[in-house]
Amino acid sequence: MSLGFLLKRLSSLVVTALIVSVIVFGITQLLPANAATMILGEYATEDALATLNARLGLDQPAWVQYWHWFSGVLHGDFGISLRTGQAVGPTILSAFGNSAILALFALLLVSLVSIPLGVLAAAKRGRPADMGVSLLSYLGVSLPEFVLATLLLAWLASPAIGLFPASGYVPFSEDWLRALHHIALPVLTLTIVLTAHVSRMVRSEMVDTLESDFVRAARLRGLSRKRVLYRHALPNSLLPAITVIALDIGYLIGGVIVVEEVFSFPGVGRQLILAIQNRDLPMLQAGALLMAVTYAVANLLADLAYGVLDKRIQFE
Amino acid sequence: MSDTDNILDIQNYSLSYASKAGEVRILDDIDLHIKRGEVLGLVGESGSAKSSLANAIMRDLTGKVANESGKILLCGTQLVGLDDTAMQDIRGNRIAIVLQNASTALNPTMTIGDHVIETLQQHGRDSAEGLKSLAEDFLNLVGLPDPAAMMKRYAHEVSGGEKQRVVLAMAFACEPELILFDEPTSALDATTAATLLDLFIALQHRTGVSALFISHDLGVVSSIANSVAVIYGGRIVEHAASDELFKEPRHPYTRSLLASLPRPSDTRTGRQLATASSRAAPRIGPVPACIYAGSCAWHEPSVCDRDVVRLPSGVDHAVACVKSVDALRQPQLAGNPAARVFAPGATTDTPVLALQSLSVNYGRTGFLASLRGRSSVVHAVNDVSLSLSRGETLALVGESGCGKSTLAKTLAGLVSFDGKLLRSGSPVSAIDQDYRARVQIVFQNPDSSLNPRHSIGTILKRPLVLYRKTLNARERDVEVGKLLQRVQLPEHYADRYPHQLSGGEKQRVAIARALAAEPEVIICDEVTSGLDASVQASITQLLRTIQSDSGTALIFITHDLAILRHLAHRVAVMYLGELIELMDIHELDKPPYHPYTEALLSSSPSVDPLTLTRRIRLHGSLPKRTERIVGCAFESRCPHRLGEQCATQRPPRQSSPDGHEIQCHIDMQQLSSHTPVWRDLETRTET
Repeated sequence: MSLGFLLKRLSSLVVTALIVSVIVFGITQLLPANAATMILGEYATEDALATLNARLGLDQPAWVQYWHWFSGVLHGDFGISLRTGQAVGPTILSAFGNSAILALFALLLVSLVSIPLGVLAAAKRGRPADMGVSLLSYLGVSLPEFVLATLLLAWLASPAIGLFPASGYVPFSEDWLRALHHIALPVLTLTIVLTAHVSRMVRSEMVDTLESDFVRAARLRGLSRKRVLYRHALPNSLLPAITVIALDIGYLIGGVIVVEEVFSFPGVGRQLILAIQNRDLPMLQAGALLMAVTYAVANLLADLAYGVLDKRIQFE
Repeated sequence: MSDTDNILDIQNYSLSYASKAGEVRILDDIDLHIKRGEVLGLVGESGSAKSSLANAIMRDLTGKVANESGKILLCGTQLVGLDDTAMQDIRGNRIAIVLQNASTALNPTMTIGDHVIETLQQHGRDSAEGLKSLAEDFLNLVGLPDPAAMMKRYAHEVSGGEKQRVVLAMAFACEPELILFDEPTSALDATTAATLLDLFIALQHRTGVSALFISHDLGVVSSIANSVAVIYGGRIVEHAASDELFKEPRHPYTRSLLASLPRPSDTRTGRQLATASSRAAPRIGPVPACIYAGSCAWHEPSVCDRDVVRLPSGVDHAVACVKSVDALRQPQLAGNPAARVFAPGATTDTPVLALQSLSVNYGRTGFLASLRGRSSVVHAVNDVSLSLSRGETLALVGESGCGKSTLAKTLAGLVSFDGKLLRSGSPVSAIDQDYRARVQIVFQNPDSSLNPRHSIGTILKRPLVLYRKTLNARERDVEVGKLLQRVQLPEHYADRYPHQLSGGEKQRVAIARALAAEPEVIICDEVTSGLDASVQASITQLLRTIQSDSGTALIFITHDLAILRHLAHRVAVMYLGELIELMDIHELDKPPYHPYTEALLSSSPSVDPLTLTRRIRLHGSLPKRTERIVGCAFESRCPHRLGEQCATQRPPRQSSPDGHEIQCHIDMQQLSSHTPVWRDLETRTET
């Protein structure tokens, strides 16, 4: 992998972020109400509105407003929340940190569970183990996360069983054991849904690879079944799986929003929902931008991982 | 003969797979043995189940077994019935296999060294110096330069020939008793295949390993095998010593196979190729008495269908045919040397197509790469000048990557180019509808060039609608029928779909589609590659007929030089994007040649009792395609390299009065004095 490639990808990341920032800003501009009407409420007088607009700079052309907002973002200033009156930056970043913990745990678990499941299904293709995995996958894929989350909540967090807390959050710095206890159900929900997807992907890739010439050649050199499976087939099947996992990060972001709402988990998704409900524009802009950038970074990482793992790819 | 003499003993082995249509016979009562140190060749056309035999020996059956009976004995050990675990100790250890496609035989995520080491390790091999050095020894054995460096490389970093050498190193690594070669050179270039074939022979002599050599290429088999078995429809129809079989083929099927193979002596003798191809053998339903009955010209139900015809055992030249050899006198194909002389289009005419200094470049140099002085531009075709007369066939030959297909696509208007292109004397400024109508192309693989969802009629009507706008719907229907007739297909084929046709028939449809536009030039891009010899012969015949009927000029692109004598008027040889030689077909049989042409001609193995082919093998590696070549492109591999001038100066284009052009530093006179590639064994012509 060359430095040139890295620079190229990083610059395209920056361009993506810029475009996203314009879109995010543009959409909030299209909304019928602006910050001034939000603050002053429905019955505000024209005069009051005009004064506030002037004070907030909302009477200026859109591109000037955009520039103010964007240069602020570059300085780490995301504006002031219309709902709480506090700075958006720290709030959204701490919420983002909480969500990241949720997502990372889910990704880790997904990788640990779905890859072996996919391999198992491919190796036992057409046999009961394969069908079992397929059945579970279908189930997982077809269950919307809010249904699954609600089910888990009603079952494992019910007063009768009470295995896990139904909501809330404890920071890891405070008590990591209780923190884990609190994130268990949200993570579990995300894991189940994603595992279904990724394991199906790994299975189909494995099935293809197992039929390829070099796997057959390896088998016909008398290599053990295990070696053929793990040394020859698996590494070549994981590459496409990495792309899928990276794309799933996009899904994870959406999933996180729903799951956080169900479990009242103080993450970026919950912040976003609150922001939408309260028309808290600065918070909405910051959250949307952050998520888009996260997605772009995840894809970049997947590309880089691909480059490191697949020896054939030469980045020019 | 005692059992211990035989490394492999296949006795009455039959295999059938279950399918929805019923039980499919794959292999039918196979009786074969391979003695210690023997190389048995197994030849057959596509669908003859020759690879299935290798799979059966390896116990790697691809289908759902319905019935399996008989014995496959490796030094007395019955392999039929062994499971995967039991086979692990045999595969790679006692029987190794070399598969056709070396390019996909190596794991892309593992180094070459790891491949060899894991094979050695699996079968408990080791040496005092350690596994790594043992692995290096084997890479050295197969003639790979710098084994230590090779160990660390990945499959994509080495050439196709080198990959096949690695596969060979692994095959020999555990000193097996038997090696199965399943079309090991089919996917390689002729010059590479020739050096590899030499290597097989040398290694086989050194180790004394027994081998089963499976190929559709009789020339290759004749050069390596001690004895040869011919397989048709899953039955062995003839088995004899190699010399014997090729000199005096007895079974009608073997005869037809050999009769459709071109030979170097064909120009001399005026021999024509047999175009009658064998039908697919019956695999489902009642067992036929004689498997070849459906295609045999001598088939007499009262004689042939009395009993199941088996291969007799205990005879030196076994033939599965009830008729005596004398009864099967081949109706000789008229050998008329005069018929072979083409009348090439009058050269004074304006050429129908002319290219002047045509170049095609692929890729572009990125901004960052250009800053560092790196270029990723591939010069696919470099400064090629050619002309094509009416009614002429120009053969464009060369190995993979020489730019011949790029040139074909360029002329078909699919790739943009630099330089000048003239059609009937006037420069072509843009590739328009009119140009496309006049210059048509037929692609190599009709499976991907014919839309599987369209009927043959629809496929043939498209060009009629596009290029012959005066026709109405009724006339188009009539025209489709005529087109099918011209390519010798029945008219009712218009209602069929591509998947209902055989490979040769599909190619005929593709040719008919090109004809539909009434073109002046048809470019045939490897149209006979991948087809069986008899089908290849009949397609060649068809193209000749079409040409003599319509005066269409043909550009025939191929890597197979043997067929040229039956088709081409002139031959253009390409190497790394450059046109290095242009000659009349009659000049193919004697020097002067460009040194590369000489090696290429020498590398193509043939079955010809009348000719001996001189062996010239190429060594050295090709330059990178992105390099700008200053001197001669062939300099790195040339056996006649003169010296520094070959690397630093562009070779001059020398031409003789009769239009023979050679791009080489060596004087044409000097090249003329080289020993011919072919030497006549007998002066008398065959009658």
